[in-house]
Amino acid sequence: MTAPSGLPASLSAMYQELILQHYRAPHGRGVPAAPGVRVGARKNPLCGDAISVGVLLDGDRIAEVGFDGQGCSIATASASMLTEAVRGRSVAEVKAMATAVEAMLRGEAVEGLEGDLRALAGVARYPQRVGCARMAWLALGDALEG
Amino acid sequence: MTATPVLDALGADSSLASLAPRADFPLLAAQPALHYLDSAATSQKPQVVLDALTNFYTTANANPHRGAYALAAAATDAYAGARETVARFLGAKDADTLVFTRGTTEAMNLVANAWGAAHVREGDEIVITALEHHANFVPWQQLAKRTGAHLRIVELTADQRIDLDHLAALLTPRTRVVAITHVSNAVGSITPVAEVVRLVRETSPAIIVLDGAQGAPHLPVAFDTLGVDFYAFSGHKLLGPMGIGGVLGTRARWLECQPWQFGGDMIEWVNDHDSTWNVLPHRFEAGTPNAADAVGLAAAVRYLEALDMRAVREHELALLRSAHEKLAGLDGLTIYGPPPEQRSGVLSFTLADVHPHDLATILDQHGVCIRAGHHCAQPLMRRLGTSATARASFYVYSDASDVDALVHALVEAQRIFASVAD
Ligand SMILES: Cc1ncc(COP(=O)(O)O)c(C=O)c1O
Repeated sequence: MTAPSGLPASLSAMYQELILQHYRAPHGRGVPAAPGVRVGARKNPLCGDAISVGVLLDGDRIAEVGFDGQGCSIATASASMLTEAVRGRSVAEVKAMATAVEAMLRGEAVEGLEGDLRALAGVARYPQRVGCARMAWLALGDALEG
Repeated sequence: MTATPVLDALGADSSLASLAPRADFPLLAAQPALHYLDSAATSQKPQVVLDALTNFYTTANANPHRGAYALAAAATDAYAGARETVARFLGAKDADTLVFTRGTTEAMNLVANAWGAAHVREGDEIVITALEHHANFVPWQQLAKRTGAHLRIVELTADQRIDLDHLAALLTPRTRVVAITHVSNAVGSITPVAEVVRLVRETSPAIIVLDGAQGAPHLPVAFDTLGVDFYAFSGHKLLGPMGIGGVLGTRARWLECQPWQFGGDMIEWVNDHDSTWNVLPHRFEAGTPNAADAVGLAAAVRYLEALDMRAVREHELALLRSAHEKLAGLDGLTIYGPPPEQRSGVLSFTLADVHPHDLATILDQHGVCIRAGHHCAQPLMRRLGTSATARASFYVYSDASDVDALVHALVEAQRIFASVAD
């Protein structure tokens, strides 16, 4: 989990290798095409980026999930991590996870977030970029509400 | 500015000094490590502009046009004097044909409402271009929707200039409005105005509205000889304060306009059930005017006049050429827009797979302020096939060190993103 040397610590905390890897080779690319898929979409009017997230529920569980859209490294990595993190989880678990991610992006210390998602903590230092990380999670929220 | 021949010989001049002393700009003087390359969004302000604002509030503050005492007369005079100065700067003899607004956005809404709503009918045509800032796009799009007129969009050449052949093909006797940017904020393309005017006058009775938000700050403008009907601009992009700008119109066109905002100052007489209107320019300036910022704007244009707008243009062109040369050496870099000679000091680009938003964050760490995004030109971004570009833009206080810092920071950004193999 290192970043190139010679950068300010806050910058390397945001542009961690893990984030750049998710950006280069995102997981969960493509909104599932199955019938019954619910899709939520968010746009960032400031920069023109757009992310949509589609979920297929099996009862209370997220059976399938994927995303589409154009985004910067943070928006794309966040969406990619999201698909990994929520697949197979219950809706209640996912909602709790989204709340925890939101708190982390506000710079709060959070517990219970696992795996790659924690790499997004570095974004909190860049308020102009929090919206990028948030986009996929808001889209997911829309999909679950919709 | 005599640097051009040298530049031509050397290709690029890495010793390019700023045209205006950075010491004149308190924000830049206080932050010597800052490389402000977002002047197309808004310019920094010289001390003389800040002084003019303070001076108005400390010596002449009263409500213009509304008092019979000496102080109110001083405010009225200051405001009228500012109008004279700004009109002269833009090459308009008749200062009363300059209507002050908050900026270009309000100016375009004014023209679309005051002239457009009175003259555009169902089945008429409104011509805009794919290059426009949303401020010169959405007001016409919405006017077309309201009136049932057809919106026609002029497409662009491969290097993002207005396609004049397409413009010619779209013009008809039903064209009522041709609204075009003088200079593109997103990619810098300079519109050949004389050519546009000739084409429009040949084939249609349309009025020509120029968006001068990026024209007035960077090129000499002579409204009386341009041959257009309206010319809108924003003061904050030409060293003036935020909240003031305006629109020049020919007297004939102003007289065809309906008032669009109603209230104090714009009336002549108010009866119970009808009113009559004041003369130009007041008819289109309802309410207490922004006199202080107009006075600040006048100080800004005097500062630019002292620099000479031809020198401003030469300076930006020299920086643009130098930046072009240096950036062209970077792997994976795409620069949008026509060659530097047909562009104002705007450098819009993308860097292989580094998203512009990431570029802006990384450059910011190096003190380099650039804009990343759609630049309020989403129709253009769609045609470029991207959601965003990075944009560096120059002005009178920019120098070679700004170009070098930009290039250095871009190399850094490349290094960060290259550190993770595909
Ligand atoms: C070409 C162009 N048109 C219109 C505008 C809108 O100007 P303002 O926001 O000052 O009203 C801008 C700047 O934002 C611009 O660059």
